[in-house]
Amino acid sequence: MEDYRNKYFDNACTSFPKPTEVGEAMLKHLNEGGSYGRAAYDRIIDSSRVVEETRDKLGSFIGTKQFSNIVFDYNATSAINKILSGFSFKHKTVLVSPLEHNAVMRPLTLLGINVGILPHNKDGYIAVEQISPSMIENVDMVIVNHISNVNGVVQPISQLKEVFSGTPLLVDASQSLGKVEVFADEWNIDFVAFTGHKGLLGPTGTGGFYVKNPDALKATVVGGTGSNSASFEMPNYMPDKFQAGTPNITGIYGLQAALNNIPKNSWDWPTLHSILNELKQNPKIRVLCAEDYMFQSDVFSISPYNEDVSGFAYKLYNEYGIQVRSGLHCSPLAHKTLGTFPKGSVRFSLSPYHTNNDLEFLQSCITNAI
Amino acid sequence: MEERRVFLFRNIHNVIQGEKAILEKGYWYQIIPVPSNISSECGMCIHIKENDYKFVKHLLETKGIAHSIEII
Repeated sequence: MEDYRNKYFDNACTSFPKPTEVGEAMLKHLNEGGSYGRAAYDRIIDSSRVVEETRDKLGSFIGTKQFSNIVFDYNATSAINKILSGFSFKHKTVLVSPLEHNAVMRPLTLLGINVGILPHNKDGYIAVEQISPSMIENVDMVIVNHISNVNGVVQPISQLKEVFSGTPLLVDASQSLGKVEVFADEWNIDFVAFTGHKGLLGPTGTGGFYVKNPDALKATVVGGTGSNSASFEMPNYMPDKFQAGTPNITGIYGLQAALNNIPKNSWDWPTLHSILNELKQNPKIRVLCAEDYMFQSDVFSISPYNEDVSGFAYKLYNEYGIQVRSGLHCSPLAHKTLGTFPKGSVRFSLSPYHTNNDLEFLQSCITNAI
Repeated sequence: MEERRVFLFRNIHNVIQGEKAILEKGYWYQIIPVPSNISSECGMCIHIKENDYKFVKHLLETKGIAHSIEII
């Protein structure tokens, strides 16, 4: 019998597989669960406990003790929209990392905000030491994609906040939560947007944001909360202020199961670094990754010099069963920074369930297919 | 009918936080609907034994869980 190989390398898109407990928990809610709040019978009380326990657990993952300031949403994009549309931009100017996703760039464009790019190295890693005092003036917010969904660079959040100590910082943790540590309180982060279905291994339709100071945002989506119901105004307390309507309780059951069953990595970093080094020796491709592996996550891309990226991705799938995403990955700014716009790249993103054998198999497939 | 002491909270987050604190200390409690003559807040409140309510009040205050107390 042929050994099982995990050929799914599109975990930056959505994680696969999930811990088996995720599906079981979601089925339990569908078969037995109730709504969140609004009444006091067991079915609702049990579901409300799961929602609140998950909120607390997420608070621990994000590194805050302010659990009530964790807001559930349906994904990081929706969360970022709520943060940006609820924030008062006095100067209408923000600074962003050079590797931002359209989840940030499109809301900023819609809102008519001027965008400056933080100084950076060739791989998009923010060069904190190059930030001059004049860059800090008249900036409403700094926004950073913690881990790039294109080349996997991990940005220096704490050092950046030290420089911009008086400026609100929004961290897009879509690719980082569950993979690298986040310390919202210690790093003095103002906003963290996250999703449940990538590094946390939960279901799609889960995510949310953390806000350090809820008074800094107005609610832009309003409705029933099951609290202060006599008023037409939203409650000003947390988390109700930003949580109108019934949350994705089935998804939150799954997310809780994911948070309680995070597997250990079955692959190791030296193997990944060795594969990156060997791929870099191939003259037919350019490897998009961190210049310094200290700042490399488990996401990287390649850009074939003489081949279409979608054609190469299809070849990997058709001939070897390797499942990956090609193109711009909703991050045209990142590709402009890296010099791969408009062609894009073929991206590979790992799961803790991959083994070193899976990684070596991937390397051999890329080398054979190119 | 016997009077009962209940703890009211402004939202579900605080109800569940309060329940967790009470549970950890081993007090008897019961989650019941909020009587409509008191409030239409979040639908749940916590009923505590008369002998325990002062301890529970202190516990919730110590943990910073906002609440009020009503007799129903």
